[in-house]
Formats: sequence, C-alpha cells, structure tokens
Amino acid sequence: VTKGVAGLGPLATLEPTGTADATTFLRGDGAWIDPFPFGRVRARVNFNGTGVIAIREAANVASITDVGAGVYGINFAAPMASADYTVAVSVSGARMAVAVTNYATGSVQIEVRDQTGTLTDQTTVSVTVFQ
Amino acid sequence: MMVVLYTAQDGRQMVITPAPGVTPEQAASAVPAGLSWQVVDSADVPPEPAPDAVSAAGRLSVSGDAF
Repeated sequence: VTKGVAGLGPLATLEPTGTADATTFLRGDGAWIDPFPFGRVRARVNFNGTGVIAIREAANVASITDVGAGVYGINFAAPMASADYTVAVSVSGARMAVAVTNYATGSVQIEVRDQTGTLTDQTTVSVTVFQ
Repeated sequence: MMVVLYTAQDGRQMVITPAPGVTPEQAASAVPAGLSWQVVDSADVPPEPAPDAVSAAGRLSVSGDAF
C-alpha cells in the first residue's frame, strides 16, 4: 500500500499487517485493525414516554411501542445479530428502577418502576444497544 | 402525529409510534402476527389505564389457627 498526499505523490510504501476485510481500517503504522474491538452501538433512541410516546432522536429504530404505563418496546429497523446484546437505559426520573424484560433480535422491552414498585411513565427515556 | 393502534391478545391497547422517516404502515410490522391494527391520529388515542402497584398486588394475607 502506498501512502501519499494528493498532488504530492507517494510518501512511503507500507507492507500492511493483519487482515483486510470489510470491518477493518488501515492504521497509520500499516496495521489493519478493527476500530471497534469492544462492539458498536447498534441502535439508540431518546423518547418522551408520557402520553402518546414520541421519539426525539433515534438510529436504527423503526418505532417504539407503548405497552402500558412504564413499559416500552423498542423495535429495531435492522435486527440484531443475536439476542445476546447489551442494553443501557436511562430515564429522567430520580430513584427509578429500570429493567430489561425481553431481549429479542427485532426488539427490546424495558420497564420503569418507582420506589413503590409501580410502573411509571417517564418524560425522557434513553436506550442504547451495543453488540 | 399518526400512530398505530392495536389490541394485544390480553386485551390491552397498545400504541406504536413510528420513528421519523418511518410510515405508520411500516411501523405496523411490529404488531404481532394475527392481530389487526389501525392508523389513528395521536390525539384520538385513549389514555392508558393506571398501573397496578406491585407492592399492593404482592401483599399476602394469611389466616388460620396457631398450634
């Protein structure tokens, strides 16, 4: 591989190490590397979970489902490779308990409860899925 | 905002809100197979019922004779 700057010609010739494929990038020292060795964000969404729930911002999320008070489904646009993914959830309410109650390749379901165990809608719910 | 309304098998009414750029018809793919759905204006969605508290539902009452 020849490194160079447009208009200046080649600066150096590299003999890359590692494996070049659709997921690797060529580092400056000539090594093909996976830029995300610990996985990637596969989906994310920030939504208003009160009333008729509404998405503020999302990536790889086709829709959200209001399953009931404090229970939300996030439906992915492109499915996960497997159901063994990692989910991070945050909500706007203080001292709330959050649970992920169903992992599926096409969706994930979460529940939010207050200190009495009552399912509670939240003004802001943020969900990020890593895999 | 248009949303998808359907009734789950247990009788609960569910609302699906599409992401920006997704049509309600496309979002309806999240409705479980076999259930009918309709596209409605969000202003026409009925309010959801108040949830049951786990603390109340899980409370036990025991009676009997001590011996």
